[in-house]
Amino acid sequence: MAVAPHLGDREFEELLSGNGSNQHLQQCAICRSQFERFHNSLAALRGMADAGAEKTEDFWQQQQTAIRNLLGSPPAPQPLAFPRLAWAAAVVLLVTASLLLSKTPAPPPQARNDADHELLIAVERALQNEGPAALEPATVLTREISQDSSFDSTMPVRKKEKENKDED
Amino acid sequence: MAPDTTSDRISEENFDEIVRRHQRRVYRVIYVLLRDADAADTLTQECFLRAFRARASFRGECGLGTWILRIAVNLARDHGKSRRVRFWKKLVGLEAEHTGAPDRWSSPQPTPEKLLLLREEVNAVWNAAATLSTQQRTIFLLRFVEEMSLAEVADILGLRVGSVKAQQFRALGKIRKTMKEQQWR
Repeated sequence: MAVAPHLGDREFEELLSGNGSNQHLQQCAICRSQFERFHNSLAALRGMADAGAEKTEDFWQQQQTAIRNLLGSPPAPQPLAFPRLAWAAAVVLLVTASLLLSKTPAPPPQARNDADHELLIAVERALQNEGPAALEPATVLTREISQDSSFDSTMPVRKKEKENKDED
Repeated sequence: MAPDTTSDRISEENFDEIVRRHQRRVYRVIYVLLRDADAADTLTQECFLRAFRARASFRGECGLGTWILRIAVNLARDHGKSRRVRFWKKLVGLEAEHTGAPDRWSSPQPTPEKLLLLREEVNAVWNAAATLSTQQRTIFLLRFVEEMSLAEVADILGLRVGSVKAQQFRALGKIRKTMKEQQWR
């Protein structure tokens, strides 16, 4: 007589799911014992879950209140929103600043000319008041420069004309 | 433009009612998965907070209860990953947290021997479940402790029914094998 094989995983699964036939269990004490043990363990686990989830009405109400309070609290701020704006503002500021700096006019050269001119006047006055006779030509030259400072380019010509007159 | 039906499903006005309707189931499922009453309470609150904030993404492809349970299971799995060691340590002290549970295991008055045997059997199943992957363990517990249908488990986990069935088969095979080995020790 052939020995009936024990329950395979497939048959075991079907029995646990309530779909299989228990014909083998009635004949095989080993499988019956194993199946009962497993079945009882699952039933015990369900009992534990029932017990663990059995709470008073106060517990559920407190949980509802806690959830309501959580909903009332504002969501965490989006960390990316402000830095994006800040970066954009910083870029705009940098571009604006660089444009402004590049368009700033250079100091007018006239200022330097004015300073030279004042220096020449000061030298002329000094020469006129207390200059020695040996510096007389310089005095003349200074006077001419100060008189015609705005026509620098023509100065040599006029100087030549004056020399010619002197020769005459 | 299509009308926005989302606000009809989850809104600030009807959210208290949704919480009342689903909080027990959510709590129980998380409790079954984690066996930690404090975590179940905290994660139930977190689950509804997330559901409310993500309400716009609920389009009604599945039932509202299934959608909320999906959030709950994901929270429990994330929580379980970070606290797995503590969780399994807690299993060893089974009676410490569930002193009231045995009264419900059998009726009318279980003998101390029967209680001891039940505890050993529960421990055996839990220890065997510990050898499963997170997904297989979740399927096993939802199917055989929560007694959900294959379709319901598939909906919650976002899997096909065939995939759930295959993993359930593998999970049971492993648990059976582990329990047989324990029996021979």
